Amino acid sequence: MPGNELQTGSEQEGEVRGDDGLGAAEDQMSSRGIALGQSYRRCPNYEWKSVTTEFFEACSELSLGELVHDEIFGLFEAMSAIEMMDPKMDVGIILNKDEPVPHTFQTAVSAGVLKLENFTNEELIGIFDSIYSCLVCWLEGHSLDQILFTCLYLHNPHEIADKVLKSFCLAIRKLIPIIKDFVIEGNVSEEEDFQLFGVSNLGVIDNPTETQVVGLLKESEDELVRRSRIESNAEDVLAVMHRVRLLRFLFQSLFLLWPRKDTTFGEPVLVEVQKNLNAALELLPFIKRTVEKGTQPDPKSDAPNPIGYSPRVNQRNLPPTFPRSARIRDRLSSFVFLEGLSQKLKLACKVIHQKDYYATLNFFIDFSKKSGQCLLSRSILQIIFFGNKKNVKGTNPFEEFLKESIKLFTAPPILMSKNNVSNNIEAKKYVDSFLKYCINLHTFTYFLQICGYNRARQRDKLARLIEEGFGNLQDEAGRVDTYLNLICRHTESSSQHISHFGTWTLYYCLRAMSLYLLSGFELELYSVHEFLYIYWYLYEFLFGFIVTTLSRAESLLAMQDITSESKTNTKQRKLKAKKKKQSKPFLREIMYNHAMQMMSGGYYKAIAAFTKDGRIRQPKSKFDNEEIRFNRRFAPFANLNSPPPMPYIEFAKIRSSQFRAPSAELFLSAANHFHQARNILESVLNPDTEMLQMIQVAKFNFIVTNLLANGHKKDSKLQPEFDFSQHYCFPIIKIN
Amino acid sequence: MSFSSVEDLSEAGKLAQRRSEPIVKALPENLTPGRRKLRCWLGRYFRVVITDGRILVGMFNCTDKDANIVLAMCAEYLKEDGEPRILGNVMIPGKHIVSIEVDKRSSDEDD
Repeated sequence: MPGNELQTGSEQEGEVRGDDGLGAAEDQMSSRGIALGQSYRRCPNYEWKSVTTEFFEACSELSLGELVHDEIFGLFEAMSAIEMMDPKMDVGIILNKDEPVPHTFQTAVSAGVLKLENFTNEELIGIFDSIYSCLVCWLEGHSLDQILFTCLYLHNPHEIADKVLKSFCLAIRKLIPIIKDFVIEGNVSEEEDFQLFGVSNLGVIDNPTETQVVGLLKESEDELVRRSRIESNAEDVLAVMHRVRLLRFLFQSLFLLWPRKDTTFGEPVLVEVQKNLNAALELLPFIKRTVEKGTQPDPKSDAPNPIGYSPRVNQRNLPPTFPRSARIRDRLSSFVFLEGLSQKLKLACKVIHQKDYYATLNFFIDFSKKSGQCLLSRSILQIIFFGNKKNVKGTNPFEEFLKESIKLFTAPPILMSKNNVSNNIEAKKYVDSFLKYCINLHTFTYFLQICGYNRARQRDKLARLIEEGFGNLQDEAGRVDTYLNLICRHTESSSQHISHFGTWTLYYCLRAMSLYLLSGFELELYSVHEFLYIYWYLYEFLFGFIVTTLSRAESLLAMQDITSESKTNTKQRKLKAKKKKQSKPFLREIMYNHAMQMMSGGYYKAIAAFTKDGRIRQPKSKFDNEEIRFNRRFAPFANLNSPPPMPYIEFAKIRSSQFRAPSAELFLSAANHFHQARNILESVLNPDTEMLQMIQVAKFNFIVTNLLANGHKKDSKLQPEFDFSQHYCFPIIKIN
Repeated sequence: MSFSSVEDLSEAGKLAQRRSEPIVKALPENLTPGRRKLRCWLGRYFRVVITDGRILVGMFNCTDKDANIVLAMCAEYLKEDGEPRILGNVMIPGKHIVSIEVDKRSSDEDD
């Protein structure tokens, strides 16, 4: 943007342009600045004449709102102007007039304020800890130039005489491009989420190589260990050593996962990565305990550490409109962040053990809930999974993966070996082209990728996935199912083809829909008066559909079992029978969705009763059109064949019939729903934390709705409070 | 040609194309002396010192009753003859202005 402004400016005004190449690209901005500056200085023929009072007097003649402006001055110029002295817009603002010009590495060294050797342990710990904090800040989305590259040691690591500090700084510099590659390759962020590029010319260091860096770190460690045996303050030396070692472990684990190296991520690499991460996790408690040993930042200064930093060194290179300063995390919480990061990376390594798409998707969704904030771990999850499924010489492992997944989900006879249909070449061609279609549409891969974005970005992308991806896929799956059904009837086969592929695609479509609707609660997009139709849809349709789809998948699987059983001999049959007792693969998820359906039912009824009693604030009808609102909320579902779209009129009809019942009755029915939800969840084996939270919420709401059914605070007109602190989409109802 | 309100700004885009031709400023007769002066200054280089001591040099583009000034192609200097930093379009609130100078060299009319 700053480039654009400059360009328009220079095109329109030829006076100072000269031959300085003002039309150059944005990235040459700083050099251009100098060139322009020279031209300013080259023509000393400015003849300044003071007009201060004259100008102010002339302005006072203007009337309020009147502008005197050049012909070329339009809305664009007005909007793009930076307001000087505005603390948010003006990066160059000088708050303290006596502030000296910020030091660069060279000036600091020659001025004698940047020591390069003879560091005390305290100083080293201070520098290391502050660099870790800056690194974490960058990972969280701040600019490199403003944070990490204010550390002068990182500018010229080769010139540092102290070996330990030198190896540490070199490793950080080598780590930066690796992290950038993860973010670029992971492809789950947008421009504003992460600052990939800075303006300072600190590029990639070629020498030493990554492996050499690890060696250098190792050498530093060894030396520190030696020193700790000789010196009296062994504990402090070890604290320094731990920090170097932590960097080595983090560096090694990230280097192993580096997408630049042409490896597929098989078991051995990931085991090695996890070993390194475990080692890092063991070190972190020691490091957290010794944070106090380092030099601490001066509370009066912006620098993260008393030595080594020049906070404003890059300030004048930053684009004109840029946040003026960024707060740097405190050291302890930075190490907590690194601890979290290592744990998440360890978890990410487990993704390759997920046997089918169903398990993988759940893994991704779960991972997103746990690490919504951490872009690096989300990117690495993508890299591990898709790196593991990389194209190997013509075959497409992802296609095989989907095929296996369908087998495990609905077991279509065509994909099962040993039966008449699977030998039908024509039928096989149909299925193959369907799978190709799935791959080419990228719907399934894209679904996984979406789960890698941060929580807020997921919503938009889910909407597109539902509209474009699943819409088409469902049509195609339907066609394949009809065709295979025909073939099955013609061939003499005991197995039937029903809607095996359709069920499979429908299930994932429903999952996407539920993620989409529920994310609205998490992102606090819905206002209270909208809860009624959201919960209505969840209760009457969505969760119900998921339950029936899963039950259908289960019965299809059971059907396949029976057909294959009838062919096998008695011995095997006994074995099968044993297995069959456990084979209700989706039981847990069915129960979970059933419980969610009941919860939604409870809210729907309770909110209906509140609305009927006039206790929910409604928007002024003059500014509102409920139908438009309703259609907007369910817009991505409008073009799907299945589930059929629900028109607003339908909802309005059901609501008015619902309102005929007295509100006490509605509250009672709500209480029943909450009670049922609790019962279902309590019968789940090994409930996870989310289920336990839901049980808590259901208990509370059961009591509240029961009280309301018995006429508690009947005359109150106050809106109840919906407290989402326990669960992100099922609030506790509180009566005021 | 008179521009006196914000609504007229949309016209400016069309007029921008004509800018490449040399234009002779034809000022309407009935302007107050202050307005006249301001119009003459449009398009000329200004050197504005602001309250924190920075010097801004750019082309005078727009102003209003409170002496808020918009400069195009603005360069910021921390001190006289220092390294400039290029800012592009800036708006300087009148209350932060310490002094204003105009480049006499680019004048060819009155003064």
